[in-house]
Amino acid sequence: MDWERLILNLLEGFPITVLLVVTSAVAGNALAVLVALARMSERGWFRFPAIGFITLIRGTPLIVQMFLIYYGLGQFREVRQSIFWVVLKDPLWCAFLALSISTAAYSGEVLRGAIANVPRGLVEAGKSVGLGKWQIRLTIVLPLAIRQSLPVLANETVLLLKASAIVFTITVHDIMGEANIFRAQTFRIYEPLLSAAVLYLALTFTIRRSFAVAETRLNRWRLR
Amino acid sequence: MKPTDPFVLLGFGEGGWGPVLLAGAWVTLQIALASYLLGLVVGLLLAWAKLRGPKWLRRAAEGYTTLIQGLPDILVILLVYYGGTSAVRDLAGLLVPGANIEINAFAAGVASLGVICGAYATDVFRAAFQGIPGGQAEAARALGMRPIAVFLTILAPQALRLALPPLGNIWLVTLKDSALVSVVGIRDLLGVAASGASFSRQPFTFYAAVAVVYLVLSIASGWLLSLMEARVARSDVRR
Repeated sequence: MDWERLILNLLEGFPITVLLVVTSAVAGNALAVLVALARMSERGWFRFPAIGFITLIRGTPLIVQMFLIYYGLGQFREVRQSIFWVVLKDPLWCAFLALSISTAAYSGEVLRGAIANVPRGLVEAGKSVGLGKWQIRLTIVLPLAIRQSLPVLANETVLLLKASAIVFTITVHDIMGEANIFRAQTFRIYEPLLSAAVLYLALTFTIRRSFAVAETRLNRWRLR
Repeated sequence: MKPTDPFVLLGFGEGGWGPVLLAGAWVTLQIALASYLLGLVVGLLLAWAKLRGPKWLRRAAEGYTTLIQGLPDILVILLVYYGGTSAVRDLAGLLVPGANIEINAFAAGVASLGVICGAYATDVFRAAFQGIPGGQAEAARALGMRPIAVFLTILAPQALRLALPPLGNIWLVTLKDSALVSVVGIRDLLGVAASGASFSRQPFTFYAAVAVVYLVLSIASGWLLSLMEARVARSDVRR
């Protein structure tokens, strides 16, 4: 049992997993704000596409979405000859795209609930001092909604980390990918998988701690 | 020249993958249902362990749910699928030297998904039983009802009402999670579609078909669940 090789391989996968989770969390949650606002819009041509997007993403497995993007889109010559092919032929980019899109749909629904729960009086107060619609949204509604949904978003980020482990099926060498290659090459089952498990548990713990810190910092005003 | 027309490829005629995909969809449904039921049983037992069990059992149940909920599903599936089957084989070899038992891939897949589903169901059941006021069981016992009758006629129906919406969510998650067993080579919907995709070199056609099947199953499940919730909510007297 070559522990040195196993540990070195897993440490090579570690930054890939962290990179994927951080970038998809940032891009996905930014998109989620747009999805939530579109989903709550009174205009049908914003609302209905948003409902369709959310239903489609939440109703199908992420692994299928990822296969569609990475293996599927290359079926079309138009895609292979377009400028997007630079991105779409790269497994890491495809993994990032699939994870961001998925986060946008799931977090979008979380934010929608939080936005709906912002007290109406605050919006009315904003109107009465002469703020515009977007000023109210950006300075009153969204900060409150995001702060309110932090505990749920912490869960969503843990789910994102867990979901990111399937990117090895499109040949990305993340933690899980390195562990699985090691398993297949050495016929060892427990050592690579349990070592990967330790890394994932450490990352889960880190995510939960960071959100807890963010939550106490953002809620400092309550203590006064 | 292999066919590229999606209607031919996905159809039931010559060169069509329709029958194979249908069989795969049936495997997916069977695996999802079986692992969901297994998960419910595991969840009920562990919820009991967490609420009423002795301290060591409570700790063990707590550790199990924390561990599984903190690990990627695919990692748990590979661990249970490869690790579990080799452990069972080694154990059989110890008990009966020279024994070589084959473990059914379907059963191993169901076991691995059930382990995951059970960890999530545990906390749902625990919250549901905790959500029933303690006076309910006390009143029933004061009337002389036996513990099993208290559980079946007083506690379980009320817990079901509280647990149904989250249990519905767990079903939707388990249904989608079942696609992961194709990674270990089980011929479920995604597994057969991957064969079709590489054979015909038309991956988009096949994976889009898979997505549509999952979407239909999810929407149909969501609709059935909302009917069940409405039916169970009728007995809610507090409204």
